Amino acid sequence: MRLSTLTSKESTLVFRALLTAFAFPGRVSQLPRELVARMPALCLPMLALTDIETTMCAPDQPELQAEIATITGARTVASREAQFVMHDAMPTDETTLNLHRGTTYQPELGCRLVVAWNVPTVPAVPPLPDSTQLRLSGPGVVSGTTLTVNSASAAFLAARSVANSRPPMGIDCWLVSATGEVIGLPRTTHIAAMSFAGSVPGKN
Amino acid sequence: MGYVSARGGLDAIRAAEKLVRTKRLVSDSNWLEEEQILDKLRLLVDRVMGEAGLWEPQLASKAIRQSEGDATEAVHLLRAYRSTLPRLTYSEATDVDDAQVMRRIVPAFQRVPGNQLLGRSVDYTARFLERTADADAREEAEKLRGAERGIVEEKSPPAEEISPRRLIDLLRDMDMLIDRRRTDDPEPFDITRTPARPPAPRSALLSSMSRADTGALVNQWYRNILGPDGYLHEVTLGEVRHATLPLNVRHPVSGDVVTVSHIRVSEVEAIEDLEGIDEDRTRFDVGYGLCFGHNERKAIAMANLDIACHRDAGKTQLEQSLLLTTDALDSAGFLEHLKLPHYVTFRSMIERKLAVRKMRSNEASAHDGA
Amino acid sequence: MALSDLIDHRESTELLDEFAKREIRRATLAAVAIPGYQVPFGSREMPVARGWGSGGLQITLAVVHDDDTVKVIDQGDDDGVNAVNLRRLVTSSTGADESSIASEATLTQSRHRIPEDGLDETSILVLQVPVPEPLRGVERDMRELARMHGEADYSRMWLSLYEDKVRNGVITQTTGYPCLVNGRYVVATTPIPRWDIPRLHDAPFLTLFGAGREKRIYAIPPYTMVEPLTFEDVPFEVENSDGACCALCGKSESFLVSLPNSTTWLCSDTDWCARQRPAT
Repeated sequence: MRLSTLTSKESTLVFRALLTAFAFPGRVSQLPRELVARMPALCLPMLALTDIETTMCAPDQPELQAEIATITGARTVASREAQFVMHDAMPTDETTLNLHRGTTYQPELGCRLVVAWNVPTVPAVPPLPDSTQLRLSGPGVVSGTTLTVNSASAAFLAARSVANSRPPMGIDCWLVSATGEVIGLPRTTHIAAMSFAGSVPGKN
Repeated sequence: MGYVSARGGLDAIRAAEKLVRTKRLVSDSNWLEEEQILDKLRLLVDRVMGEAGLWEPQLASKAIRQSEGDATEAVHLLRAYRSTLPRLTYSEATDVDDAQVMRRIVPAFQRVPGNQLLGRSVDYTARFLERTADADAREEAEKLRGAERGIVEEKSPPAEEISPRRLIDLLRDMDMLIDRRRTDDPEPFDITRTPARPPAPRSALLSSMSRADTGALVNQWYRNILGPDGYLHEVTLGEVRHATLPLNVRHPVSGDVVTVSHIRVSEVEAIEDLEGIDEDRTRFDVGYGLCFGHNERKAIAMANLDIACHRDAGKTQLEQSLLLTTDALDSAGFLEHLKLPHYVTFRSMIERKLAVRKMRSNEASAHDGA
Repeated sequence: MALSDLIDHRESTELLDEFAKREIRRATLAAVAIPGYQVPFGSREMPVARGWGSGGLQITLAVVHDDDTVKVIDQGDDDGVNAVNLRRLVTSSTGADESSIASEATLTQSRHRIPEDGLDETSILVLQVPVPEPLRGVERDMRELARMHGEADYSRMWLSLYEDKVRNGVITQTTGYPCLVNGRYVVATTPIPRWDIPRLHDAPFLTLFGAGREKRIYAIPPYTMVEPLTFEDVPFEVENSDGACCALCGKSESFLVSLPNSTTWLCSDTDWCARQRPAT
């Protein structure tokens, strides 16, 4: 097994990074480095948050899915029913659009999605050819916050917008890099394309 | 130390704690043993376990002693302790027909299979307060104990009496009962994990009532079922039982079902006449009550309220009342929170009263000036 | 072997088991993602009674670790007995440090006040909530309340405010003024004074609301729109003190409370007050 049970303090530290990520969408938080050194950072949100009373799914990574289920006791179900879903690459539009969005009366049932994030968040100068800059807005977003994404990520974010098009229903996401950087995108965060690539990047 | 608009801080709290603890533990009377509470105040122990939702008589007696006899305070101690305990496993569902009864009556019929077993109950004792002097009462008890020692154990009653067939089975044989038995097996609602709000599944209602404050349920019964306030339900009791039930879990290694303990419960089935306009007038329906320990009035109230709630079908706020206003700690805690400082709100209230007066006097003088 | 042998009998100082903390954390994350929505959670019984801060305490215990510094106040006072009791429960069971200075605290748990200063992006404010339902005054049936929030139908609330204004000349809501959060949900702001309401709007800090008895958690994320419900021609009014000053520090810029004589006023935020006075 690559993964191990998180201690009480480790769970708390991971939770705090995820909470800050949701409170300040678009801003990079850091998962505890000692933990990231020992196990895949992508697994840390589920290891910290799930237990016998939750459902989860990691359809691309059946071995990790089984390990997480054993460690936390979380029940493995289909992606469209799961409260927590993990992907090690951008999910397909179909996957994203089928995730549970909650209901008008129970929006809290919306899925928490953890996605591996491989694109540098700080825009390169000059911008990389396959990159787009997006502007974030909504609760917690400091004015001027932007996100630089490649086309695969841009497609995912577009599908995410559709999933979140009938508030308060929606899905909430964490983008986690291999080195444990986290960006939170709760359903309230609006993402819009900025001016064409090639312009001077806005500040993050 | 003193309240003094709640200043005084840590010293005040420590002084108050010390005072409470000292007065509780140090006195001229003898030490109150847990065994004495378990043995001599068994009904209080049962009531507290039932309202705490935690079966452990030894802990309940500790709580009663620590709370100096305040039942709700004892319930709080037990529930707060429960919050620190991890959940090890889930028990297997227990069939209540596996119960062994110590007392069982069926008011709906004069004679029943398995017999009416009066058992240990004060129902037909005359309520004369025994005013014997303490020392004499003690002496009498000692004499009785000596007499009891000589008595040979009776042979145990027949199986039919220990585990009698319940009345509703017989009513079903007579085709007198509406059949509301489910064919599916939904997960029971866990009120300790998910707060229940109407409309809620029946398991949420039953478990809320099972853990409710006894007085609150009795009051709800008196107001809604049969009393000066509420409208009449024609309820006759079927089973009224005080029984033991096995607690079964699945062995983690062998997978076999193992009995790890026993609990005592009070169990009631209430037979409802159904005289409503759109109800089946040719049959009865039944309400169910079950709670920890020997607490018949709670189980009876619960059974009556279960069927009343089903018949109400959301027309009134009965379900909301039962789910949300009968918990001992929620009601008592919130009531007593009024003792906390409220001077920020009070100051804001005074300010609004002055604002209203000023507005009215402005309007009056504007009117005069016109 | 008895069942009791399976349980670790070491004395734990923890007030909540690990599952309880995870449940509270999941509810808190949902609350931040849906600003103003009351998220149900499996509220546990605490060593403090329902109505005495059990919800705020549960949030604090689920959020805090031993590197945090915690401030706890009641009516703005760090030294009130209830605040002292809660603070010692938190520090003794989590190992966190304590401070009365809001800018030093990473988490402030409060009953009925927001500290006058010191809260920034690194702060988490936890407010204790006696009644999380802002519409209870106009509706008792919980099924109807769920519909009103679900469909954002707050017409009865607006009507009651209008009737209040017509009958009394002013809106007489005292503390806990109802506010619209992120343009969607109306919330009960707990009995914080109207004085504190403007500081919820577009705040740099995260505010979490814990209602233990009613088993709901809600949140106002940082930099979020918070609008007190009022009418275009009826400006929102904070408490008026007619220019009174604190008898201890001489300032009038903080929320003041009076003695029964109504001529002596004191800062409700005792730490803010102490910092205005020159050290002796």
